[in-house]
Amino acid sequence: MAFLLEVITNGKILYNELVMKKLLLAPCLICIALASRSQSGDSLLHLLAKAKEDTDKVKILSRLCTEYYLDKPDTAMLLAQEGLNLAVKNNFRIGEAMLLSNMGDVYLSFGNYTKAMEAQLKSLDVYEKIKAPGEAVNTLHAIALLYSDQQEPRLALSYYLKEYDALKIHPDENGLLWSLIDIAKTYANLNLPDSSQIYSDRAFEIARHYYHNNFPGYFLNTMADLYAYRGQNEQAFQYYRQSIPDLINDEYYREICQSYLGLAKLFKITGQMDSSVYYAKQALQISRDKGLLLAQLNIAGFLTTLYKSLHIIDSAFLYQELNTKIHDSLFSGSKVKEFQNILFSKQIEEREIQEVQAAYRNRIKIYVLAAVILTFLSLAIILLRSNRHKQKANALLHKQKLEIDTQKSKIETAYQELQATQAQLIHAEKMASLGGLTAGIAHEIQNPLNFVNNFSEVNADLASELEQEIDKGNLDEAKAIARDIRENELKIGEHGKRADAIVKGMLQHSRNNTGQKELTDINALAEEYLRLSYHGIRAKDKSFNASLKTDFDNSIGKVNIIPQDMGRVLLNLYNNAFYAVNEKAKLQADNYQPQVTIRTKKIDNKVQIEVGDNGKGIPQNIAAKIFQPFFTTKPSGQGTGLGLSLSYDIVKAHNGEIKVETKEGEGSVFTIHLPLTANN
Amino acid sequence: MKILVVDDENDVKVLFEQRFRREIRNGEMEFMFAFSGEDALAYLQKHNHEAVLILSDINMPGMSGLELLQRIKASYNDPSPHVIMVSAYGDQENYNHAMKHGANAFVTKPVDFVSLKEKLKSLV
Repeated sequence: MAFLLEVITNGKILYNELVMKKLLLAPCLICIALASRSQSGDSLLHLLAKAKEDTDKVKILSRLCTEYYLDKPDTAMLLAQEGLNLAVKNNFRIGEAMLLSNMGDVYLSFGNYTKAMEAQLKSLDVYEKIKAPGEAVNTLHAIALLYSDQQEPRLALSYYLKEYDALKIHPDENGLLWSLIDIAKTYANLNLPDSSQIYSDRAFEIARHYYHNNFPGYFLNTMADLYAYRGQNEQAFQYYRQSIPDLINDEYYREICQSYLGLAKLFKITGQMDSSVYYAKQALQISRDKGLLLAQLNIAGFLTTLYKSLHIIDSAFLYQELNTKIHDSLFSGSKVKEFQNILFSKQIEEREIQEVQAAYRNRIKIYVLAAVILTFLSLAIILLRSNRHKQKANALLHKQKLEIDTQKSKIETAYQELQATQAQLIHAEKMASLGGLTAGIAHEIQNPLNFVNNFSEVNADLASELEQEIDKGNLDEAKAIARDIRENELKIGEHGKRADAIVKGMLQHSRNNTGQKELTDINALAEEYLRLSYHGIRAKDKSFNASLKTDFDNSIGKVNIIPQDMGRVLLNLYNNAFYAVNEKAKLQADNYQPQVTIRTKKIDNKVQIEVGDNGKGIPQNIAAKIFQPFFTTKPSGQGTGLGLSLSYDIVKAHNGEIKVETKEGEGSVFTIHLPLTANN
Repeated sequence: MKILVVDDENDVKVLFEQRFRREIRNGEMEFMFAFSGEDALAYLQKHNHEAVLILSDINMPGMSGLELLQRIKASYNDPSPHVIMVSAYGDQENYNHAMKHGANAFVTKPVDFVSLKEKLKSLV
């Protein structure tokens, strides 16, 4: 209790002792300890007692600190520690920042700039971490003040400007006003009068409204300072003078000292040294009485320079000594160093922070860039892949196309070869059938030639007989002979033409190009080729004989066909018929009478040509294949297998049809139908 | 002497009539003509034993000369008429075949009418 009493009564207990014994102190004891200190303090203590939430308690403790830090810094420190602990315990960050700032204020009251700055910077750090710049006004102001006091106007200005920005978040005219004044002051201090003027004008604007033109002394004296700084002496005088009565009335001693010192300085400038000394001494008196160390320091400093300029060395020395004494107590060498260390470390820290921020920004940039690059890269890869895929597909397609082209050209070549081969085959088949015909043709030519020769011989005989008869004068006989000669001559011509026609037909038959359609006597054609075929077979096989039956419909008239082509069809059918009967004849020697029949008939608008034989017939399983190319039942070398196939094609080309009726062992009938109207 | 000529060529008639015009005019020879084997048999049936000599082509559509020869030799024995075979194919096979079936002579085309005349005359 003795300790507590001490706290309450003089409040001069050392801070360290407080810290050591802090743990023993319950908040309620603090309440008791602080009881009845001041009016507002009382009500706050009352509130503290009633407060249930820890956060509320923290807030109230903060306000109590503000209340006590100037008059009772020890108590305030105790409260600040308690509040800070409570805030940290509850993770109440704003409270933590508030109380750190309070603690800074308290340290300043102790004159411990180092600790004060440390606490304020911690506070600011918390505010920044929780991103509550609007709440950081007091802290920023305190830091600015600390820098300002430590003759770091640039740093001070930066914090004042930050404070001003923070104030704009929760605008309050008084706050803004003083912030503007602070800024204006700092600009003046930095010897930037124009900037200073701008801010002080703004401050005046707000002040007129805020104070309703009834400016308080502390405002006037501050403005006077500003004008003085800027060398606007007249206004400075005016405002200093105006401020003093009000300040005295309000017992604002620090400000009174300030006004007096201001006046002293002005008088020094204007050369009124007595007045200057007077006001300076007034100020010094008051500061001494009120224990205002900083004011004393300034005033002593001023008086030193003042006396120096007045060449009153002993007085100058006296004030110099005072100044040094106060200075040492305020800023001991170590304290200054410490503070400068803090400044330095703060600057480093800020630089580090900036570096970290820059690094962070860079990192972000790098990440973004990396992401962008990655995106582009993946896009590029995708594009590349799809491109490659496409290229592959294209290559494949190209390859396939090439292959197809190659195949195509191969097929085309093969087709051409096939066509050529087919043409050759057709030709070969023609030649083969022609070869088979040679004997028949020879016989067919031989007969007319025989007639030609015989009639020729006869005519030679008749000519000599004619001479004899003329010699005899037997004119009638001579005339008869002459008539015979002429008749024979006709026969010679006739048979010559017949041979000629056969040769022509043979040539036509062997000719490669397709013949032209012409009106043809189908009966004559059928008979001619029947003879050719028959004699052809006979030439090869002397023993062969067959009865040829012809049944021609003479009403058919001429049919529009390609005679040599249709001749080949007939030839094939005859050859096959003869072959079939011959094969059968070889098997059944005696009783068999081979017979080949050709029958033509007009049916409606068609010509029907039947080639029949009583040969061995065609087995049913083969009958379906006989019109296929290269199908043959003949031993190899005896047939090309193309005869019927070509016949089929020729008949088709004539818009006709060919079919076969056959019975194995009994014979076959090939029937051709050719249209009379179409193409005819 | 009646001679039956069998050939599918119509002009054979004119040729023979001219070649043997003197013999015909003299009445030495009389020529009949048939243009197929079938015609020849029909004629022979009608005019039995009228023809003393038959001159037949072998190579004819329908009934061939050799078949005709066989028929004649089979049907007409008392006495069977002389048959001379004429062929464009003067090969041994045809010749043998003709002779085997009782042909009296074998003449190759083109016919040498001088030697044919002599052959006919010697037969008559």
